[in-house]
Amino acid sequence: MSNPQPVVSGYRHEALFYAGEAEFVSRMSAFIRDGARLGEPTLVVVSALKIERLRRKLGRAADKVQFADMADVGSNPGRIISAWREFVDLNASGGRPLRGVGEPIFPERSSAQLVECEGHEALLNAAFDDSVPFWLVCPYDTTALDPAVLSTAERNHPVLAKGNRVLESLSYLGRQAEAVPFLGTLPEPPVEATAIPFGSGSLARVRSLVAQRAARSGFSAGAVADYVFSVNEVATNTLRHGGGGGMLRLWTEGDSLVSEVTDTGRFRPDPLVGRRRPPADIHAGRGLWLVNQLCDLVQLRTFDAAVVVRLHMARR
Amino acid sequence: MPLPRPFAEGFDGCPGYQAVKFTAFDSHEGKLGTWSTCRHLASGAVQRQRGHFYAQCSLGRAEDRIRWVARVTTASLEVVRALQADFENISAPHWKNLLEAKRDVLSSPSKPGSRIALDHLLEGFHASVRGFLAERKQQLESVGLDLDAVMTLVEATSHAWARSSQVALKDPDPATLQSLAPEFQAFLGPPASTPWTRSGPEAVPLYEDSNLRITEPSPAVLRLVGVIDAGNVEAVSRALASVLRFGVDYHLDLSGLIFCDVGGLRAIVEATERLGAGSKLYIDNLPGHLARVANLAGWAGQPGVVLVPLEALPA
Repeated sequence: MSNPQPVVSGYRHEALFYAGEAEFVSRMSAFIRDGARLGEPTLVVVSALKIERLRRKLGRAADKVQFADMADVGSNPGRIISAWREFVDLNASGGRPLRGVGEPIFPERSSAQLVECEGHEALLNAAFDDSVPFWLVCPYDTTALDPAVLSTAERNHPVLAKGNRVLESLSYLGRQAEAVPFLGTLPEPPVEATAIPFGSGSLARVRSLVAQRAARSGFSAGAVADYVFSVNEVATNTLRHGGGGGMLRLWTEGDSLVSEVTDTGRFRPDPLVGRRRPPADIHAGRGLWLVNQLCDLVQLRTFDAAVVVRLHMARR
Repeated sequence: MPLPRPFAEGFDGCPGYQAVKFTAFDSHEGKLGTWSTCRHLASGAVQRQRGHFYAQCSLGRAEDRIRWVARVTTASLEVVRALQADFENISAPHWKNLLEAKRDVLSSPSKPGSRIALDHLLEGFHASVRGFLAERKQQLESVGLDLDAVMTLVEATSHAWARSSQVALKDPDPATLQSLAPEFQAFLGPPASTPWTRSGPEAVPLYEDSNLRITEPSPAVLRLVGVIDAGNVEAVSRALASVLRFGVDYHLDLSGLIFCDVGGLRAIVEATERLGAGSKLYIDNLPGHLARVANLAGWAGQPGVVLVPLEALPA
């Protein structure tokens, strides 16, 4: 049976382990075809190459499916939840069941991206509740991914599909998983990182330092403006909530610049902070959401007396 | 307020500063030294005192300088600064040899070998520049600088220099410059050639702090010049609230904003609520990056707010 009985009703966040591309195509096309037959709106967010393979296999059945390239939607995994949210809000009417396929984790991810993708998977458990029957499958390639990545996937998904078996994940962290993305430590910045303390009077200095570094690193004018705007926004949050001052550290990682803003505040974020498009009538709370749209990767960590935010931006 | 000159390395006292290296030679073509100056620094003649000059910014007063920076954008200016600094770095070793060769040509004009040596060095210099420009194509294009046009300018300028009767370096070749696109001239042409409007006669500000001025150049038109960030956003919000009157349509001219954060945009959008239903707030000349952010944030469709983006250069 390609359509096993759901173990849970309502929202079902499932990790599907597959071995190589052929199995991916056969399993996922069956899942999508079943949805199409039942008239369930379906969104598939995977790589462009996999979209191509699925379309070929599905033929006419692909016409009813929405496809999106993971490189567009989720190169920054902090943007993926708002894409799912939009899909669900647009299509969930009258209790109609929905389907999704999302593959945020693949071997080409950098280690920083991978960590944030795992955080994204954990937060997906908090992103939807059982009010909408939404079956979201996250495929994991067992032939390409590290075993540690697969066991993290088991902790982040309540339901696992392995071979022809569908089981409840025994290591699933439950709603505790929501806090996990904000707790881990980040690798130490390199010793040559530029460090400047800043306060309410020195945001202009922060902006000019970031603009200079970005321009000297070969960023185009648009990328300089996006990056300066983002770092300024995070530094501004620090001034508001972080005890009035903070530290900016700035360094290069390969083709990217990384800016880290640290303060001594206590911040217990709403787990989905910056991952939901703010509603039109609420003017506050857009800052981190915008930063997620403008930067390549956002890493937020909270400690007892410190908040750390890292913004990664590649040369473009 | 006069700024200290010559400008120190890393000078950051003016947002429009664009460093230019100035090398002086004595009448025997000996090098006197190299100083950093600003591309916008010009001299004005003191009235009724012949031969007396004062230093002047060709962009105008402080407010005009800020409006110029907002027009070309700080991000583009920073990219141009980085490109110029790197261009100088790759040029420096060539110029050392080129100056020697040029001295040879001038001291023994009849010797054909010295002319050939100079041309050969120029070719090597042009090849380095071509490589540099190709590597930075994306950055150049992001500030409106066309790769081939820059190369044409470099070749025309250095050829004119090679044929001149002096060792001293020349300004970019004026004839070639004039043939280039207007956006090009914003950064490399005569300083004041950027299509931007000066503020006009000094107006009494409705609001003023060290980073922002709000004036009302004509009724129901508010002009914001400078920066809105965490340092002044609450004061700006209060100022807008006290100025805007119920039932009136307003135009906000934001073309002079060098930087505005999310809070600043929010303050501007929230100001529409003071106007009441039926009134409109036209946001005129919204700089490109702010328009992008306002669209991303979903403020573009806010009732009563009409965003009128600033035309891309050239105006």
